[in-house]
Amino acid sequence: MNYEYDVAIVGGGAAGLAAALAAADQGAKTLILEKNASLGGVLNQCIHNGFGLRYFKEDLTGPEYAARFIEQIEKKSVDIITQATVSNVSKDKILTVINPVKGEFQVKAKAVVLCAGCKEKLDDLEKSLGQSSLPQGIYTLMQAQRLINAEYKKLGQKAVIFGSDNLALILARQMTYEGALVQCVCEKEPCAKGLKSNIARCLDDYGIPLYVNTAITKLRGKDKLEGVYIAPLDGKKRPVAAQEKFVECDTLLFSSQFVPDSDLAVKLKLKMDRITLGPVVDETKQTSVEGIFATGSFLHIHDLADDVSFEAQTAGKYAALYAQGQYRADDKKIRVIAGGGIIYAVPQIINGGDKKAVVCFRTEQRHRNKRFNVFCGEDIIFAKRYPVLLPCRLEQAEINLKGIEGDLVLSLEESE
Amino acid sequence: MKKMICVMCPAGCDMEVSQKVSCGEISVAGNDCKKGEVYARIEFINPQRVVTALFPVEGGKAVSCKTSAAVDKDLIFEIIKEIKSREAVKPVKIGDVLIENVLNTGADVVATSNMI
Ligand SMILES: Cc1cc2nc3c(=O)[nH]c(=O)nc-3n(C[C@H](O)[C@H](O)[C@H](O)COP(=O)(O)OP(=O)(O)OC[C@H]3O[C@@H](n4cnc5c(N)ncnc54)[C@H](O)[C@@H]3O)c2cc1C
Repeated sequence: MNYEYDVAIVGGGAAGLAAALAAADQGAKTLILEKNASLGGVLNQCIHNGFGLRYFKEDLTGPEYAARFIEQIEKKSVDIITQATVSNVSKDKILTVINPVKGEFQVKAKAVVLCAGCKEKLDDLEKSLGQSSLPQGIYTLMQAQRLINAEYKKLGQKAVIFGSDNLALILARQMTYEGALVQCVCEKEPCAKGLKSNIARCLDDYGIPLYVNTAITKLRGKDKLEGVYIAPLDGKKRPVAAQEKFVECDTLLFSSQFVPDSDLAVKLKLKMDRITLGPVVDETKQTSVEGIFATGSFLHIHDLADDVSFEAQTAGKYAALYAQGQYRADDKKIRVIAGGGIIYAVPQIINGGDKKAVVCFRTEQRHRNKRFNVFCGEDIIFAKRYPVLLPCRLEQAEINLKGIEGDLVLSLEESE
Repeated sequence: MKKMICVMCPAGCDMEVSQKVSCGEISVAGNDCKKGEVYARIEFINPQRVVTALFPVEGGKAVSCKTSAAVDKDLIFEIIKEIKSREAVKPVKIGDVLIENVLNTGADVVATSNMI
Protein backbone atom coordinates (compact mmCIF):
# COMPACT_ATOMS: atom_id res chain seq x y z
CA MET A 1 0.00 0.00 0.00
CA ASN A 2 1.48 3.36 -1.07
CA TYR A 3 -0.54 5.60 1.11
CA GLU A 4 -0.81 5.18 4.86
CA TYR A 5 -2.24 7.84 7.11
CA ASP A 6 -3.52 8.29 10.64
CA VAL A 7 -6.53 10.26 9.42
CA ALA A 8 -7.99 10.32 5.90
CA ILE A 9 -10.55 13.00 5.18
CA VAL A 10 -13.05 12.54 2.37
CA GLY A 11 -14.00 15.95 0.93
CA GLY A 12 -12.27 19.31 1.29
CA GLY A 13 -15.19 21.68 1.89
CA ALA A 14 -15.81 23.66 5.07
CA ALA A 15 -16.10 20.41 7.03
CA GLY A 16 -13.06 18.65 5.59
CA LEU A 17 -10.85 21.71 6.04
CA ALA A 18 -11.73 22.20 9.72
CA ALA A 19 -11.50 18.47 10.43
CA ALA A 20 -8.06 18.30 8.80
CA LEU A 21 -6.78 21.26 10.81
CA ALA A 22 -7.99 19.78 14.07
CA ALA A 23 -6.50 16.36 13.25
CA ALA A 24 -3.16 17.91 12.31
CA ASP A 25 -3.23 19.95 15.53
CA GLN A 26 -3.31 16.64 17.43
CA GLY A 27 -0.19 15.59 15.55
CA ALA A 28 -1.93 13.06 13.31
CA LYS A 29 -0.60 12.36 9.83
CA THR A 30 -3.51 13.68 7.80
CA LEU A 31 -4.65 13.44 4.17
CA ILE A 32 -7.48 15.30 2.42
CA LEU A 33 -9.00 13.65 -0.65
CA GLU A 34 -11.03 16.12 -2.71
CA LYS A 35 -13.03 15.32 -5.82
CA ASN A 36 -12.79 18.82 -7.34
CA ALA A 37 -9.69 20.58 -8.63
CA SER A 38 -9.67 22.93 -5.64
CA LEU A 39 -10.57 22.93 -1.97
CA GLY A 40 -13.51 24.82 -0.44
CA GLY A 41 -16.60 22.94 -1.62
CA VAL A 42 -19.79 25.00 -1.78
CA LEU A 43 -18.03 27.92 -0.08
CA ASN A 44 -16.46 28.74 -3.46
CA GLN A 45 -19.85 29.37 -5.01
CA CYS A 46 -21.24 31.44 -2.13
CA ILE A 47 -19.75 34.79 -3.14
CA HIS A 48 -22.00 36.83 -0.81
CA ASN A 49 -20.91 37.87 2.66
CA GLY A 50 -22.21 36.72 6.04
CA PHE A 51 -19.64 33.97 6.64
CA GLY A 52 -17.30 33.84 9.61
CA LEU A 53 -19.31 36.02 11.98
CA ARG A 54 -19.10 33.34 14.67
CA TYR A 55 -15.84 31.63 13.79
CA PHE A 56 -13.63 34.59 12.89
CA LYS A 57 -15.80 37.39 14.36
CA GLU A 58 -15.54 38.96 10.91
CA ASP A 59 -17.89 39.33 7.98
CA LEU A 60 -16.41 37.34 5.09
CA THR A 61 -17.57 35.99 1.74
CA GLY A 62 -17.59 32.21 1.16
CA PRO A 63 -14.33 32.07 -0.85
CA GLU A 64 -12.57 34.26 1.73
CA TYR A 65 -13.81 31.99 4.52
CA ALA A 66 -12.43 28.95 2.69
CA ALA A 67 -9.14 30.74 2.00
CA ARG A 68 -8.62 31.39 5.72
CA PHE A 69 -8.71 27.65 6.38
CA ILE A 70 -6.64 26.75 3.31
CA GLU A 71 -3.89 29.18 4.40
CA GLN A 72 -3.74 27.52 7.81
CA ILE A 73 -3.74 24.04 6.29
CA GLU A 74 -0.85 24.93 4.00
CA LYS A 75 1.20 25.81 7.07
CA LYS A 76 0.60 22.35 8.57
CA SER A 77 1.89 19.11 7.21
CA VAL A 78 -1.45 18.04 5.79
CA ASP A 79 -1.29 16.18 2.47
CA ILE A 80 -3.87 17.13 -0.11
CA ILE A 81 -4.84 15.24 -3.24
CA THR A 82 -7.32 17.03 -5.48
CA GLN A 83 -9.33 15.52 -8.32
CA ALA A 84 -9.42 12.47 -6.11
CA THR A 85 -12.83 10.86 -5.91
CA VAL A 86 -13.28 8.35 -3.13
CA SER A 87 -15.44 5.56 -4.55
CA ASN A 88 -15.41 3.31 -1.53
CA VAL A 89 -14.46 3.21 2.13
CA SER A 90 -14.28 -0.19 3.78
CA LYS A 91 -14.94 -0.99 7.42
CA ASP A 92 -11.22 -1.64 7.94
CA LYS A 93 -10.58 1.87 6.59
CA ILE A 94 -9.18 1.21 3.18
CA LEU A 95 -10.24 3.94 0.78
CA THR A 96 -10.50 3.37 -2.95
CA VAL A 97 -9.67 6.54 -4.83
CA ILE A 98 -9.89 7.51 -8.50
CA ASN A 99 -7.67 10.26 -9.90
CA PRO A 100 -7.17 11.17 -13.58
CA VAL A 101 -3.36 11.12 -13.23
CA LYS A 102 -2.75 8.38 -10.70
CA GLY A 103 -5.62 6.16 -11.85
CA GLU A 104 -7.23 4.04 -9.17
CA PHE A 105 -5.32 3.68 -5.93
CA GLN A 106 -5.88 2.82 -2.30
CA VAL A 107 -5.28 4.66 0.92
CA LYS A 108 -5.06 2.94 4.28
CA ALA A 109 -6.02 5.00 7.28
CA LYS A 110 -6.43 4.41 10.99
CA ALA A 111 -9.42 6.75 11.11
CA VAL A 112 -11.62 8.29 8.43
CA VAL A 113 -13.69 11.49 8.51
CA LEU A 114 -16.49 11.54 5.94
CA CYS A 115 -17.09 15.15 4.79
CA ALA A 116 -18.55 14.58 1.32
CA GLY A 117 -21.28 17.22 1.62
CA CYS A 118 -24.86 17.16 0.43
CA LYS A 119 -26.84 16.96 -2.79
CA GLU A 120 -30.23 18.08 -4.06
CA LYS A 121 -33.05 15.61 -4.44
CA LEU A 122 -33.71 16.02 -8.12
CA ASP A 123 -37.00 14.42 -9.08
CA ASP A 124 -39.25 17.03 -7.45
CA LEU A 125 -40.09 19.33 -10.35
CA GLU A 126 -40.90 16.78 -13.05
CA LYS A 127 -43.05 14.98 -10.52
CA SER A 128 -44.85 18.05 -9.25
CA LEU A 129 -45.60 19.26 -12.79
CA GLY A 130 -46.44 15.82 -14.12
CA GLN A 131 -43.98 16.37 -16.96
CA SER A 132 -41.52 13.79 -18.18
CA SER A 133 -39.15 16.17 -19.94
CA LEU A 134 -38.34 19.79 -19.21
CA PRO A 135 -37.48 22.63 -21.60
CA GLN A 136 -34.07 24.34 -21.44
CA GLY A 137 -33.67 27.09 -18.88
CA ILE A 138 -34.56 25.21 -15.69
CA TYR A 139 -31.99 24.86 -12.93
CA THR A 140 -31.86 23.75 -9.34
CA LEU A 141 -30.57 26.39 -6.94
CA MET A 142 -27.23 24.73 -6.26
CA GLN A 143 -26.71 24.16 -9.98
CA ALA A 144 -27.56 27.78 -10.78
CA GLN A 145 -25.27 29.10 -8.07
CA ARG A 146 -22.42 26.98 -9.36
CA LEU A 147 -22.99 27.96 -13.00
CA ILE A 148 -23.17 31.67 -12.24
CA ASN A 149 -20.36 31.94 -9.73
CA ALA A 150 -17.93 29.16 -10.53
CA GLU A 151 -18.40 29.01 -14.29
CA TYR A 152 -19.56 32.59 -14.92
CA LYS A 153 -22.45 31.50 -17.14
CA LYS A 154 -25.23 33.93 -17.98
CA LEU A 155 -28.41 32.04 -17.25
CA GLY A 156 -31.07 34.26 -18.83
CA GLN A 157 -32.82 37.61 -19.03
CA LYS A 158 -36.03 37.01 -17.10
CA ALA A 159 -36.21 34.65 -14.17
CA VAL A 160 -38.79 33.13 -11.86
CA ILE A 161 -37.62 31.50 -8.65
CA PHE A 162 -39.67 28.74 -7.11
CA GLY A 163 -38.85 28.24 -3.43
CA SER A 164 -37.99 30.75 -0.73
CA ASP A 165 -35.16 29.25 1.31
CA ASN A 166 -32.10 31.42 1.95
CA LEU A 167 -30.32 30.22 -1.16
CA ALA A 168 -33.35 31.11 -3.32
CA LEU A 169 -33.41 34.63 -1.86
CA ILE A 170 -29.69 35.14 -2.29
CA LEU A 171 -29.86 33.97 -5.90
CA ALA A 172 -32.71 36.41 -6.60
CA ARG A 173 -30.38 39.25 -5.66
CA GLN A 174 -27.46 37.82 -7.55
CA MET A 175 -29.43 37.23 -10.74
CA THR A 176 -30.50 40.89 -10.47
CA TYR A 177 -26.86 41.98 -10.18
CA GLU A 178 -26.02 39.87 -13.21
CA GLY A 179 -28.54 41.85 -15.21
CA ALA A 180 -31.56 39.54 -15.16
CA LEU A 181 -35.05 40.70 -14.28
CA VAL A 182 -36.32 38.49 -11.47
CA GLN A 183 -40.07 38.51 -12.03
CA CYS A 184 -41.03 36.92 -8.72
CA VAL A 185 -40.19 34.42 -6.03
CA CYS A 186 -42.97 31.87 -5.41
CA GLU A 187 -43.44 29.72 -2.34
CA LYS A 188 -46.10 27.07 -1.94
CA GLU A 189 -46.12 27.32 1.85
CA PRO A 190 -47.92 30.20 3.60
CA CYS A 191 -44.65 31.67 4.85
CA ALA A 192 -41.21 32.20 3.30
CA LYS A 193 -38.67 29.60 4.39
CA GLY A 194 -35.61 31.84 4.52
CA LEU A 195 -34.64 34.39 7.15
CA LYS A 196 -36.58 37.62 7.14
CA SER A 197 -33.32 39.53 6.97
CA ASN A 198 -32.69 37.87 3.61
CA ILE A 199 -36.17 38.83 2.42
CA ALA A 200 -35.31 42.42 3.33
CA ARG A 201 -31.83 42.37 1.83
CA CYS A 202 -32.38 40.25 -1.26
CA LEU A 203 -36.00 40.91 -2.32
CA ASP A 204 -37.32 44.13 -0.76
CA ASP A 205 -34.16 46.07 -1.61
CA TYR A 206 -34.77 45.37 -5.29
CA GLY A 207 -38.56 45.35 -5.35
CA ILE A 208 -38.74 41.63 -6.18
CA PRO A 209 -42.22 40.34 -5.30
CA LEU A 210 -42.65 37.29 -3.08
CA TYR A 211 -45.84 35.26 -3.60
CA VAL A 212 -46.51 32.80 -0.81
CA ASN A 213 -49.20 30.09 -1.02
CA THR A 214 -48.45 29.97 -4.71
CA ALA A 215 -47.59 27.08 -7.00
CA ILE A 216 -46.28 26.70 -10.51
CA THR A 217 -49.00 24.85 -12.38
CA LYS A 218 -47.60 24.60 -15.92
CA LEU A 219 -44.61 25.51 -18.02
CA ARG A 220 -44.75 27.09 -21.45
CA GLY A 221 -42.10 26.33 -24.05
CA LYS A 222 -41.15 23.11 -25.76
CA ASP A 223 -37.39 23.23 -26.23
CA LYS A 224 -36.72 26.50 -24.45
CA LEU A 225 -38.64 27.85 -21.50
CA GLU A 226 -40.94 30.76 -22.40
CA GLY A 227 -42.73 31.22 -19.12
CA VAL A 228 -44.58 29.64 -16.23
CA TYR A 229 -48.17 29.64 -15.05
CA ILE A 230 -48.58 30.36 -11.37
CA ALA A 231 -51.69 30.09 -9.23
CA PRO A 232 -52.53 30.71 -5.58
CA LEU A 233 -53.36 27.63 -3.49
CA ASP A 234 -56.66 27.19 -1.69
CA GLY A 235 -57.14 25.88 1.85
CA LYS A 236 -56.64 22.33 0.62
CA LYS A 237 -53.42 23.22 -1.19
CA ARG A 238 -55.06 22.97 -4.62
CA PRO A 239 -54.28 25.64 -7.21
CA VAL A 240 -57.16 28.04 -7.86
CA ALA A 241 -57.53 27.72 -11.65
CA ALA A 242 -59.53 30.93 -12.01
CA GLN A 243 -56.66 32.96 -10.61
CA GLU A 244 -53.92 31.31 -12.65
CA LYS A 245 -51.66 33.77 -14.43
CA PHE A 246 -48.81 33.65 -16.90
CA VAL A 247 -45.37 34.97 -16.03
CA GLU A 248 -42.90 35.33 -18.86
CA CYS A 249 -39.41 33.96 -18.17
CA ASP A 250 -36.54 32.17 -19.89
CA THR A 251 -35.07 30.93 -16.63
CA LEU A 252 -36.66 29.04 -13.79
CA LEU A 253 -34.72 28.29 -10.63
CA PHE A 254 -36.35 25.81 -8.35
CA SER A 255 -35.44 24.83 -4.89
CA SER A 256 -35.32 21.18 -3.96
CA GLN A 257 -34.58 19.47 -0.70
CA PHE A 258 -30.94 19.21 0.34
CA VAL A 259 -29.97 15.78 1.62
CA PRO A 260 -26.63 14.36 2.77
CA ASP A 261 -24.78 12.67 -0.09
CA SER A 262 -25.12 9.26 1.51
CA ASP A 263 -23.52 6.94 -1.10
CA LEU A 264 -20.39 6.19 0.91
CA ALA A 265 -22.37 5.83 4.13
CA VAL A 266 -24.75 3.36 2.53
CA LYS A 267 -21.91 1.28 1.06
CA LEU A 268 -20.35 1.18 4.52
CA LYS A 269 -23.71 0.10 5.93
CA LEU A 270 -23.51 2.83 8.58
CA LYS A 271 -26.49 3.12 10.85
CA MET A 272 -28.55 5.96 9.37
CA ASP A 273 -30.99 8.51 10.81
CA ARG A 274 -34.32 8.38 9.00
CA ILE A 275 -34.92 12.10 9.39
CA THR A 276 -31.52 13.70 8.77
CA LEU A 277 -30.80 11.01 6.13
CA GLY A 278 -27.20 11.09 7.38
CA PRO A 279 -25.37 8.65 9.65
CA VAL A 280 -26.15 8.26 13.35
CA VAL A 281 -23.25 9.66 15.38
CA ASP A 282 -22.16 10.20 18.97
CA GLU A 283 -20.89 13.46 20.46
CA THR A 284 -17.43 12.91 18.91
CA LYS A 285 -19.17 12.45 15.51
CA GLN A 286 -18.14 8.80 15.41
CA THR A 287 -20.55 6.68 13.36
CA SER A 288 -21.75 3.14 14.08
CA VAL A 289 -18.43 1.87 12.66
CA GLU A 290 -15.50 2.47 15.02
CA GLY A 291 -12.94 4.92 13.70
CA ILE A 292 -15.24 6.27 11.02
CA PHE A 293 -16.50 9.79 11.69
CA ALA A 294 -18.97 11.97 9.79
CA THR A 295 -19.51 15.72 9.82
CA GLY A 296 -20.73 18.77 7.88
CA SER A 297 -23.61 18.53 5.46
CA PHE A 298 -22.72 14.86 4.96
CA LEU A 299 -23.98 14.36 8.52
CA HIS A 300 -26.98 16.68 8.46
CA ILE A 301 -27.97 19.81 6.55
CA HIS A 302 -26.45 22.92 8.09
CA ASP A 303 -27.45 26.53 7.56
CA LEU A 304 -24.19 28.15 8.54
CA ALA A 305 -20.64 27.36 7.51
CA ASP A 306 -19.45 28.47 10.93
CA ASP A 307 -21.50 25.73 12.58
CA VAL A 308 -19.98 23.22 10.17
CA SER A 309 -16.45 24.33 11.08
CA PHE A 310 -17.04 23.97 14.82
CA GLU A 311 -18.68 20.57 14.41
CA ALA A 312 -15.93 19.32 12.08
CA GLN A 313 -13.22 20.33 14.55
CA THR A 314 -14.64 17.89 17.04
CA ALA A 315 -14.76 15.13 14.42
CA GLY A 316 -11.17 15.80 13.32
CA LYS A 317 -9.86 15.91 16.85
CA TYR A 318 -11.45 12.62 17.89
CA ALA A 319 -10.49 10.93 14.62
CA ALA A 320 -6.88 11.82 15.42
CA LEU A 321 -7.18 10.62 19.01
CA TYR A 322 -8.76 7.38 17.79
CA ALA A 323 -5.95 6.88 15.25
CA GLN A 324 -3.36 7.46 17.99
CA GLY A 325 -5.07 4.92 20.24
CA GLN A 326 -5.96 7.58 22.79
CA TYR A 327 -9.71 7.47 22.41
CA ARG A 328 -12.29 4.68 22.41
CA ALA A 329 -16.01 5.21 22.89
CA ASP A 330 -17.28 3.54 26.06
CA ASP A 331 -20.16 1.12 26.20
CA LYS A 332 -22.55 3.26 28.19
CA LYS A 333 -24.76 4.95 25.61
CA ILE A 334 -27.32 7.66 26.22
CA ARG A 335 -29.78 8.10 23.39
CA VAL A 336 -30.87 11.61 22.38
CA ILE A 337 -34.46 11.57 21.23
CA ALA A 338 -36.30 14.35 19.39
CA GLY A 339 -39.64 14.88 21.13
CA GLY A 340 -42.53 17.33 20.68
CA GLY A 341 -41.88 20.17 18.24
CA ILE A 342 -38.34 19.02 17.42
CA ILE A 343 -37.66 17.38 14.04
CA TYR A 344 -34.24 15.97 14.79
CA ALA A 345 -31.30 16.13 17.13
CA VAL A 346 -27.60 15.48 16.47
CA PRO A 347 -25.74 13.66 17.98
CA GLN A 348 -28.24 10.85 18.30
CA ILE A 349 -26.07 9.14 20.92
CA ILE A 350 -23.90 10.39 23.76
CA ASN A 351 -21.34 8.19 25.45
CA GLY A 352 -21.81 7.96 29.18
CA GLY A 353 -19.53 9.69 31.59
CA ASP A 354 -19.68 12.93 33.48
CA LYS A 355 -19.23 15.46 30.75
CA LYS A 356 -20.81 18.27 28.85
CA ALA A 357 -22.11 17.64 25.36
CA VAL A 358 -23.38 19.96 22.66
CA VAL A 359 -26.64 18.84 21.09
CA CYS A 360 -28.04 20.61 18.08
CA PHE A 361 -31.65 20.46 17.05
CA ARG A 362 -34.07 21.79 14.48
CA THR A 363 -37.70 22.73 15.04
CA GLU A 364 -40.66 21.79 12.92
CA GLN A 365 -42.13 25.27 12.57
CA ARG A 366 -41.56 28.90 13.34
CA HIS A 367 -42.08 29.63 17.05
CA ARG A 368 -42.06 32.65 19.34
CA ASN A 369 -41.33 32.36 23.07
CA LYS A 370 -40.83 28.67 23.61
CA ARG A 371 -39.04 26.83 26.34
CA PHE A 372 -36.68 24.11 25.18
CA ASN A 373 -36.51 21.27 27.70
CA VAL A 374 -34.28 18.25 27.98
CA PHE A 375 -35.87 15.46 29.98
CA CYS A 376 -34.17 12.47 31.53
CA GLY A 377 -37.10 10.40 32.74
CA GLU A 378 -39.34 12.82 34.63
CA ASP A 379 -36.54 15.25 35.40
CA ILE A 380 -35.76 18.35 33.39
CA ILE A 381 -31.97 18.44 33.23
CA PHE A 382 -31.68 21.44 30.92
CA ALA A 383 -34.03 24.27 29.98
CA LYS A 384 -33.63 27.39 27.91
CA ARG A 385 -36.07 30.00 26.71
CA TYR A 386 -35.95 30.92 23.03
CA PRO A 387 -37.63 34.16 21.91
CA VAL A 388 -37.53 32.87 18.32
CA LEU A 389 -37.10 29.41 16.82
CA LEU A 390 -37.01 28.92 13.07
CA PRO A 391 -36.91 25.76 10.95
CA CYS A 392 -34.15 27.36 8.88
CA ARG A 393 -31.95 27.80 11.92
CA LEU A 394 -30.18 24.99 13.64
CA GLU A 395 -30.02 25.64 17.38
CA GLN A 396 -27.63 24.16 19.87
CA ALA A 397 -27.47 23.62 23.58
CA GLU A 398 -24.62 22.54 25.81
CA ILE A 399 -25.94 20.01 28.26
CA ASN A 400 -24.21 18.96 31.45
CA LEU A 401 -24.47 15.19 31.80
CA LYS A 402 -23.03 14.84 35.28
CA GLY A 403 -24.76 11.92 36.95
CA ILE A 404 -27.08 11.30 33.99
CA GLU A 405 -27.75 7.65 33.17
CA GLY A 406 -30.93 7.43 31.09
CA ASP A 407 -31.98 8.57 27.62
CA LEU A 408 -32.63 12.24 26.88
CA VAL A 409 -35.83 13.54 25.32
CA LEU A 410 -35.87 17.04 23.83
CA SER A 411 -39.12 18.97 23.58
CA LEU A 412 -40.66 22.41 23.36
CA GLU A 413 -43.30 23.99 25.57
CA GLU A 414 -45.05 27.33 25.78
CA SER A 415 -43.22 30.02 27.74
CA GLU A 416 -44.48 33.39 28.93
CA MET B 1 -44.07 56.21 6.42
CA LYS B 2 -41.70 53.45 5.43
CA LYS B 3 -42.12 49.72 6.10
CA MET B 4 -39.00 47.68 6.79
CA ILE B 5 -37.93 44.35 8.20
CA CYS B 6 -35.42 44.43 11.03
CA VAL B 7 -32.27 42.44 10.21
CA MET B 8 -30.70 42.56 13.66
CA CYS B 9 -31.86 39.09 14.72
CA PRO B 10 -33.80 36.11 13.32
CA ALA B 11 -37.09 37.42 14.73
CA GLY B 12 -37.20 39.90 11.83
CA CYS B 13 -39.71 42.37 13.28
CA ASP B 14 -41.89 44.21 10.75
CA MET B 15 -41.35 47.87 11.52
CA GLU B 16 -42.85 51.15 10.40
CA VAL B 17 -40.74 54.27 10.42
CA SER B 18 -42.20 57.72 9.98
CA GLN B 19 -40.96 61.27 10.13
CA LYS B 20 -42.95 64.31 11.21
CA VAL B 21 -42.85 66.93 8.47
CA SER B 22 -43.03 69.77 11.00
CA CYS B 23 -40.00 68.98 13.18
CA GLY B 24 -38.30 66.07 11.42
CA GLU B 25 -38.76 63.81 14.41
CA ILE B 26 -38.45 60.11 13.51
CA SER B 27 -40.62 57.48 15.19
CA VAL B 28 -40.31 53.71 14.96
CA ALA B 29 -43.09 51.19 15.59
CA GLY B 30 -43.28 47.39 15.50
CA ASN B 31 -39.84 46.69 16.93
CA ASP B 32 -39.56 44.28 19.85
CA CYS B 33 -36.32 45.68 21.18
CA LYS B 34 -34.02 48.68 21.27
CA LYS B 35 -31.69 47.25 18.60
CA GLY B 36 -34.52 47.44 16.11
CA GLU B 37 -35.11 51.09 16.80
CA VAL B 38 -31.44 51.96 16.26
CA TYR B 39 -31.36 49.93 13.06
CA ALA B 40 -34.57 51.52 11.77
CA ARG B 41 -33.28 55.04 12.28
CA ILE B 42 -30.02 54.36 10.43
CA GLU B 43 -31.83 52.48 7.69
CA PHE B 44 -34.31 55.35 7.32
CA ILE B 45 -31.75 58.11 7.13
CA ASN B 46 -28.84 56.46 5.36
CA PRO B 47 -29.26 52.83 4.22
CA GLN B 48 -25.93 51.22 3.39
CA ARG B 49 -24.91 47.84 2.00
CA VAL B 50 -21.81 45.82 1.31
CA VAL B 51 -22.01 44.83 -2.36
CA THR B 52 -20.77 41.41 -3.46
CA ALA B 53 -20.59 40.68 -7.17
CA LEU B 54 -18.67 39.03 -10.01
CA PHE B 55 -15.83 41.05 -11.54
CA PRO B 56 -15.01 40.28 -15.20
CA VAL B 57 -11.53 38.89 -15.87
CA GLU B 58 -9.83 38.62 -19.26
CA GLY B 59 -10.81 35.57 -21.28
CA GLY B 60 -14.50 35.61 -20.37
CA LYS B 61 -13.92 34.65 -16.75
CA ALA B 62 -14.78 36.36 -13.47
CA VAL B 63 -13.66 36.57 -9.88
CA SER B 64 -15.86 37.35 -6.93
CA CYS B 65 -15.46 40.79 -5.36
CA LYS B 66 -16.91 43.00 -2.64
CA THR B 67 -16.88 46.60 -1.56
CA SER B 68 -14.40 47.02 1.28
CA ALA B 69 -17.06 48.88 3.28
CA ALA B 70 -20.80 49.42 3.15
CA VAL B 71 -21.83 51.94 0.49
CA ASP B 72 -25.00 53.97 -0.08
CA LYS B 73 -27.76 51.64 -1.12
CA ASP B 74 -28.75 53.97 -3.96
CA LEU B 75 -25.36 53.47 -5.55
CA ILE B 76 -25.52 49.67 -5.80
CA PHE B 77 -26.52 49.52 -9.46
CA GLU B 78 -24.05 52.19 -10.49
CA ILE B 79 -21.29 50.28 -8.74
CA ILE B 80 -22.35 47.06 -10.47
CA LYS B 81 -22.30 48.93 -13.80
CA GLU B 82 -18.83 50.22 -13.03
CA ILE B 83 -17.66 46.70 -12.17
CA LYS B 84 -19.15 45.19 -15.33
CA SER B 85 -17.53 47.86 -17.52
CA ARG B 86 -14.06 46.70 -16.49
CA GLU B 87 -11.88 43.67 -16.95
CA ALA B 88 -9.21 42.54 -14.52
CA VAL B 89 -5.93 41.07 -15.71
CA LYS B 90 -4.76 37.72 -14.36
CA PRO B 91 -3.49 36.78 -11.86
CA VAL B 92 -5.98 38.11 -9.33
CA LYS B 93 -5.46 37.43 -5.64
CA ILE B 94 -7.82 37.75 -2.68
CA GLY B 95 -7.55 41.30 -1.34
CA ASP B 96 -6.36 42.84 -4.63
CA VAL B 97 -7.92 46.27 -5.12
CA LEU B 98 -9.82 46.10 -8.40
CA ILE B 99 -11.33 49.61 -8.24
CA GLU B 100 -10.00 52.21 -5.85
CA ASN B 101 -12.48 54.50 -4.11
CA VAL B 102 -15.35 53.36 -6.31
CA LEU B 103 -17.63 56.28 -7.31
CA ASN B 104 -16.07 58.34 -4.55
CA THR B 105 -17.71 56.26 -1.85
CA GLY B 106 -14.47 55.87 0.05
CA ALA B 107 -14.77 52.09 -0.41
CA ASP B 108 -12.63 50.00 -2.75
CA VAL B 109 -13.80 47.05 -4.80
CA VAL B 110 -11.56 44.17 -3.73
CA ALA B 111 -11.21 40.61 -5.01
CA THR B 112 -12.59 37.88 -2.74
CA SER B 113 -11.23 34.92 -4.71
CA ASN B 114 -8.09 33.96 -6.59
CA MET B 115 -7.57 33.41 -10.29
CA ILE B 116 -4.23 32.35 -11.68
C1 LIG C 1 -25.88 25.54 -1.85
C2 LIG C 1 -25.55 25.93 -0.44
C3 LIG C 1 -25.52 27.27 -0.05
C4 LIG C 1 -25.17 27.63 1.24
N1 LIG C 1 -25.14 28.96 1.59
C5 LIG C 1 -24.70 29.31 2.82
C6 LIG C 1 -24.59 30.68 3.21
O1 LIG C 1 -24.97 31.56 2.45
N2 LIG C 1 -24.08 30.98 4.43
C7 LIG C 1 -23.67 30.02 5.30
O2 LIG C 1 -23.15 30.32 6.38
N3 LIG C 1 -23.82 28.74 4.97
C8 LIG C 1 -24.33 28.36 3.77
N4 LIG C 1 -24.47 27.04 3.47
C9 LIG C 1 -24.20 26.08 4.54
C10 LIG C 1 -22.72 25.75 4.71
O3 LIG C 1 -21.90 26.74 4.14
C11 LIG C 1 -22.41 24.50 4.06
O4 LIG C 1 -23.25 23.55 4.66
C12 LIG C 1 -20.96 24.10 4.25
O5 LIG C 1 -20.09 24.94 3.54
C13 LIG C 1 -20.85 22.68 3.81
O6 LIG C 1 -19.57 22.21 4.00
P1 LIG C 1 -19.28 20.68 3.77
O7 LIG C 1 -17.80 20.56 3.83
O8 LIG C 1 -20.09 19.85 4.66
O9 LIG C 1 -19.82 20.35 2.29
P2 LIG C 1 -19.29 20.83 0.87
O10 LIG C 1 -18.88 22.22 0.86
O11 LIG C 1 -20.30 20.37 -0.10
O12 LIG C 1 -17.97 19.98 0.67
C14 LIG C 1 -17.97 18.64 0.33
C15 LIG C 1 -16.73 18.38 -0.47
O13 LIG C 1 -16.57 16.99 -0.64
C16 LIG C 1 -16.20 16.73 -1.96
N5 LIG C 1 -16.61 15.36 -2.25
C17 LIG C 1 -17.89 14.88 -2.34
N6 LIG C 1 -17.87 13.56 -2.58
C18 LIG C 1 -16.57 13.18 -2.62
C19 LIG C 1 -15.92 11.93 -2.84
N7 LIG C 1 -16.62 10.81 -3.05
N8 LIG C 1 -14.57 11.90 -2.84
C20 LIG C 1 -13.86 13.04 -2.62
N9 LIG C 1 -14.42 14.25 -2.41
C21 LIG C 1 -15.76 14.32 -2.40
C22 LIG C 1 -16.90 17.78 -2.77
O14 LIG C 1 -16.28 17.99 -4.01
C23 LIG C 1 -16.82 19.00 -1.86
O15 LIG C 1 -15.67 19.77 -2.10
C24 LIG C 1 -24.85 26.64 2.18
C25 LIG C 1 -24.92 25.30 1.82
C26 LIG C 1 -25.28 24.93 0.53
C27 LIG C 1 -25.36 23.48 0.18
